[in-house]
Amino acid sequence: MMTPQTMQSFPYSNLLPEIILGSGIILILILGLFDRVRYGHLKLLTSVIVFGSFVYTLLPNSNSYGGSLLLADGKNLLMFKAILSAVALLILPIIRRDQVSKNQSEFLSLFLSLLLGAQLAFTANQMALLLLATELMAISAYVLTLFLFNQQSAEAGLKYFIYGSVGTGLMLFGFSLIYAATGATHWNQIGQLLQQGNLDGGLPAAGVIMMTGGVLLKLGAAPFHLWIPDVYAASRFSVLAIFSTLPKIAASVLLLRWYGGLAFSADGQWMAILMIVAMVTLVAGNFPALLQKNVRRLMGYSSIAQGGFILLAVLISNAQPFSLAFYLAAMSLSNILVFYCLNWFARSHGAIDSKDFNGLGRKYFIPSLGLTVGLLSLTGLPPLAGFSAKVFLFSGLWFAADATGSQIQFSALIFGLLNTVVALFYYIRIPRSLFLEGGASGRNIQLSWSEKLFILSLTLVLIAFFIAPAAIHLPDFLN
Amino acid sequence: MNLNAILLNLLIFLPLAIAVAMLFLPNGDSKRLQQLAVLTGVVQVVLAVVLLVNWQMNVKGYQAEIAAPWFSVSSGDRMLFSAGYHVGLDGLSLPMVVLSAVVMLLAAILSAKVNSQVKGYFLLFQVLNTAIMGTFAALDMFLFYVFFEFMLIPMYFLIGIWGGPNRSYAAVKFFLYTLFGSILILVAMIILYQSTGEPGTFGISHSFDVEVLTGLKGLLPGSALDPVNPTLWFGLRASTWVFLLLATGFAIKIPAVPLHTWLPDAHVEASTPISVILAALLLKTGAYGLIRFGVLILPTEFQEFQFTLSIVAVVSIIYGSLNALASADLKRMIAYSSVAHMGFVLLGISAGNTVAIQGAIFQMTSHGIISAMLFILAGVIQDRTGSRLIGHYSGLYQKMPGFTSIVLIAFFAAMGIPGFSSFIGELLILIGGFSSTALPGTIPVLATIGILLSAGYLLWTISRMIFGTFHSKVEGDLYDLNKKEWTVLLPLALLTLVLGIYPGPLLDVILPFAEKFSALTSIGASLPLK
Repeated sequence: MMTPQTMQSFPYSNLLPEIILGSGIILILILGLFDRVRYGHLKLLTSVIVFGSFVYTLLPNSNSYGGSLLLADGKNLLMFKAILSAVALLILPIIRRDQVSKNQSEFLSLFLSLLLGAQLAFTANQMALLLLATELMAISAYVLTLFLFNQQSAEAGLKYFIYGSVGTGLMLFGFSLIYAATGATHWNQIGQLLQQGNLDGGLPAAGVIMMTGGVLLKLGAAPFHLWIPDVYAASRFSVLAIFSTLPKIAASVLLLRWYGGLAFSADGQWMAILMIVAMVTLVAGNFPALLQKNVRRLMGYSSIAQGGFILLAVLISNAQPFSLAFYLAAMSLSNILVFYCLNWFARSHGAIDSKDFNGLGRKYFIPSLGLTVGLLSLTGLPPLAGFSAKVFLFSGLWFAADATGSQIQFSALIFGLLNTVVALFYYIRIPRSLFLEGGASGRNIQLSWSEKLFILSLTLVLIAFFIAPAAIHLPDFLN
Repeated sequence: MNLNAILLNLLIFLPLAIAVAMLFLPNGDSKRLQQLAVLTGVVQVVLAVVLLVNWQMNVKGYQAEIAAPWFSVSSGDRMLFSAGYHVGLDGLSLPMVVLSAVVMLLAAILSAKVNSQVKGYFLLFQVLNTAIMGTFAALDMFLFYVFFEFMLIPMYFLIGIWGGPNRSYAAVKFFLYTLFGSILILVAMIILYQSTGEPGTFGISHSFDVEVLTGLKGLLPGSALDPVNPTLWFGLRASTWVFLLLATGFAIKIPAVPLHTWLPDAHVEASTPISVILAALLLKTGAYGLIRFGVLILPTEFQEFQFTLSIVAVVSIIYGSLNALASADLKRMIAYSSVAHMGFVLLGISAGNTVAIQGAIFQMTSHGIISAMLFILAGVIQDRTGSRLIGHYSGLYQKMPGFTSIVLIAFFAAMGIPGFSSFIGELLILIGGFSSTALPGTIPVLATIGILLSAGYLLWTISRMIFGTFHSKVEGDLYDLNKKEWTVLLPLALLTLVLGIYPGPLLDVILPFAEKFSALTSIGASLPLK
């Protein structure tokens, strides 16, 4: 077990990814004060910062913090950190100038602080630091919601804020109950104490429930999902790309660490309760999605459903985080591709409802292809990464069900599979409008070569991950 | 890797390579795109013929085989998932691959009429081509599943964009039905994968390879499928569930009543070449999958369900025929006749002996040829006037003598008249059915009612449309077959005649597989017919 290290021996250089991000935020904010600094420069700098943090995550031995506040246990965490930074890097192309209004440096620094919060939440080993990290993430997210600067987005931001605060409150209350029961604030110590089982059962159990509720809210899982459709309906696509990926990755890794051995063991009733939560989340996302016409709301409900699948992946990942990592990577890449193309259609044609896409596939092949590939990957069809992700997930579920003989895991498997068919109903709606319906007219807008390149390369990456899924282990090989 | 294996891989992946090349061709050059597709088809037919010539008779096991690891993912020191690239041919898949090459070539020729978004059409067409070839050649269940499911996406767009007025509905219905079937197969596949394997250095190494799965050779003791101390779900053994999942999943594709309702809609809305592919090849993938990945993997469970399967088959035959009798639309009638004919294939599978499975595979090949002809003929009429309603025409023989001659060949072939290939197929299936110890004699007797009914609706259609005084209720020049139509119809007519008169070589190709099949299903095989 780790022992708290002294200040002198703490290897600060291992914190470099976080230090790069933190100083980057300040730098961007300061540069934003000068009128002469243009958006292109700021974005380039942001890319360099994120890239720097990404590269440093990949460098050998950067994962052994060994401190008591931050604890990185094993290479799996490194894999998740690499995925997080890589996803953030890929979101940057969506944050075009028109997405940020006049508040260029603010948007970018909020984006970076959200990323920093997510990174810290991975490794935080202490209650207060974890709370700070998740709040950094959440507060950045509240403000990002407002970037449409209209009544609707203000309402959505407020709604998000209220829901989020309740989540934070729940988490904090859970922390205090656990502290009351164990007298410790470090997760590894708490884990030891709880597993020894010499504590009064009621208090820590209540604490765990509340704390989990707080994290489920970040994941967008039922019953804490109600904010998602409204927030999605009132936010910019770049913000949606962020919301549907980074906080979900952070929240799922947090859950994995809590339930996957760091603090509590994932057995028995906790597993069963969370499996049921996952199944309810799938229904809460997939069935309302069938009724949506607005693509933002549709993607909101899709994101809820994806949260359900992520939760299932977390629950089977105790010994094998690979399927969770792969699911997160595949889902994030697909979401980024979808939002990039949706953003293009919204910008060029003001397409908001699925009928607005009618016939556009014939005129604009590449964005339509990208959108279709992204949505089919989210559905889980071959030959795309989303398919492999679902196969690994279901295979893991079956393995767990078979090993434990648990009916609930078996039901979750069947439930997840049936939901895949339901999901096709609404995921196919936009491709159907694009290619099967007629009637696009009006002006013809050309894509720039960089837009084409981005869409095509992301499409190829989704196919490449299907052909060679082991590529996701790349960070491990580098170490 | 031997030469045949290289040829087989070329056969599978050539269309995909052409599709990539097509990306760089200009969209407007529709003639060149179609020529390229036809050329691909010609090369594929040549490759298929070379494979056929190189075929070694009386060899059990696979030919033109290649096996290589594809990918494996591990977590820590535990192997999580691995799949192989394993393709090859045997007596079951060779006829299907050759049939696919021929049908895809003819479909490419027929696609000359496509006039909108030609590039997209041929791109999807070529992708579909690779998916179909891969489905028939794959000997690794994961690889098979990938190809099998990948047929859906191009097919969805091919029906949905270039189809008839109600195409969108038909395409979505097709997609959802078959995806549902695929999901059932996916569950079964995962359970099979986790329950079989062999102990290796890194714990148990699982595999999707058909050799490990066939007859559950690599069954792990203590797994859910272990017959000793079996896992029960809702009172049924896990292995029974797996068989039911596989059978239902593939039955949707075959399609067997009552899971057939996507088929008439898809057929009626699809354009002629796509209808041809759908009837001649896609339905066969269902029957093929049921044989190779359903019955052969779980022969013991299959024996429990032989009778049930035969009931489904007989219901499909009779219900499909009755619906065909009641159809006013020529294409719908042919679609329902497909349901009935695929019912015979299912009957042959369920009988479980050498003769019957020989007949089933023969019938699959034969139905591929005949249904292609029928849909091309329906397309000819639709092209002339835009109407496919049987009641709109009479006395067509006066205006279209060439058309009439091919219609007579195709319809008599579909009826199962001696001298045509389907006679052999249906005869073997019925012989197999009568000699099967698992089925009561009433089952094949009931199936013969289907043959009578098929004679009914086909002859009635001939008498209404072809004979009598000339009359057409719709506008349009009813000219006879043109050169292109002759080119696609004549080879098919010849094939069904040749196979009907001289079925020996095809039966010899099938025989080693049929013997392997009946040995696994272990029901006293009667004398194989040569």
